[in-house]
Amino acid sequence: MHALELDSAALAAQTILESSGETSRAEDTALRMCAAFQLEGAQIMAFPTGFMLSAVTRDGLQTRVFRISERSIRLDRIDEVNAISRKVAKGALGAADAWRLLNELRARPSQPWYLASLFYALAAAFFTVMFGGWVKEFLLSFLIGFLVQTIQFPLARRGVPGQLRAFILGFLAAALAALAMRALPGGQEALLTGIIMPLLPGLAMTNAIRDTIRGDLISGLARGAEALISAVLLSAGAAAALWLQGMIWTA
Amino acid sequence: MDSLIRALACMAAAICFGKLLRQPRSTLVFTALIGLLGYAVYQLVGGLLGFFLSGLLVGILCELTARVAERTTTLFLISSIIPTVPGLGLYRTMMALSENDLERAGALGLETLAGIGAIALALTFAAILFGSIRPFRRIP
Repeated sequence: MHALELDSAALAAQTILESSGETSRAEDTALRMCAAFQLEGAQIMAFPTGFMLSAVTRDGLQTRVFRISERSIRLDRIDEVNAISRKVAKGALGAADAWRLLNELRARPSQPWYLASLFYALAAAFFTVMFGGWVKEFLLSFLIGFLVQTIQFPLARRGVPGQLRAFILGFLAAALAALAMRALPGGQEALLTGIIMPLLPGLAMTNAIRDTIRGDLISGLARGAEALISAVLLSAGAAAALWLQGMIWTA
Repeated sequence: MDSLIRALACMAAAICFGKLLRQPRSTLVFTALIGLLGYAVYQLVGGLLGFFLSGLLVGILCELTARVAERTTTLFLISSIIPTVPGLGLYRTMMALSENDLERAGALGLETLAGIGAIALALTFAAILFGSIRPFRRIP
């Protein structure tokens, strides 16, 4: 019972969904790969949280069911799976090679934490300047941004759900920004807005609209809810911290 | 001078954000430029129309670049649109919430939501224009 053709198509779809690619891209990629491998009657039904793929292989009708529990944004993986599936569709890549390449791609270690934190910190700092901050706000935004991204790793490792992480990070960012502005008065608006910009669910929002327009209503609603809930929890966390500091300093 | 520094910061922020999301290096220049254009259009026009026009421009440029580079549109879209996303509106909503001013929070929140909706609508128009959103079809 070994159908490498079906397995590599399923692995491609799984990688796309785990990297926060569109549902339609996962479906299209798997179907194109099945067609290139000459599997008949391929059918796929994908959601942001899992998919089912079935096709007729040499051993008869087979189905693969996958649950996607943890998703992160990995644009490089979406790009590389796209390149692999294009090669497969042109007939330049066999099932065994596609399987090997996909596994190599998945085994590659992700960005080390300090690089992710550094890029988050720089993005936050530059957003702060874009919103009218200056040297002091730039430096504070860099420091707080670095902390906010760094704290994500132990939280994720301990299995804190993504939506709850948004609340904690929003709270932390606003609390630190408010404290910093107490010590060194300046543009709190530019500082805090810059820090939370990279946390906003831009990709989920864009994909939600794309999925909904295409007619993938379940995916669209799921992603829309994901975007809305994380934006609301992020703001709730930040608002809670700002409210708390208002209470403490007026008391 | 001030707007030059803001423009540079906008491009630098888009690049760093792209690096955070592991965007391939060769696409970073394009997203920085498109991001800056989108942000400039929003600054010039302002309001809901500004969000819509900015989203439309970013969407069209990203679809074009993706076609030329033979890569997926998503790769370009995310860090190009991030400078235009109404972060300030969200911040002001939170401030109003923390001051218990529910009326202002509601108005600001709705305005922010409408801005996000305008961007999303514009991006969708751009995608439909280039036929990158197709209804589900069987691949023979």
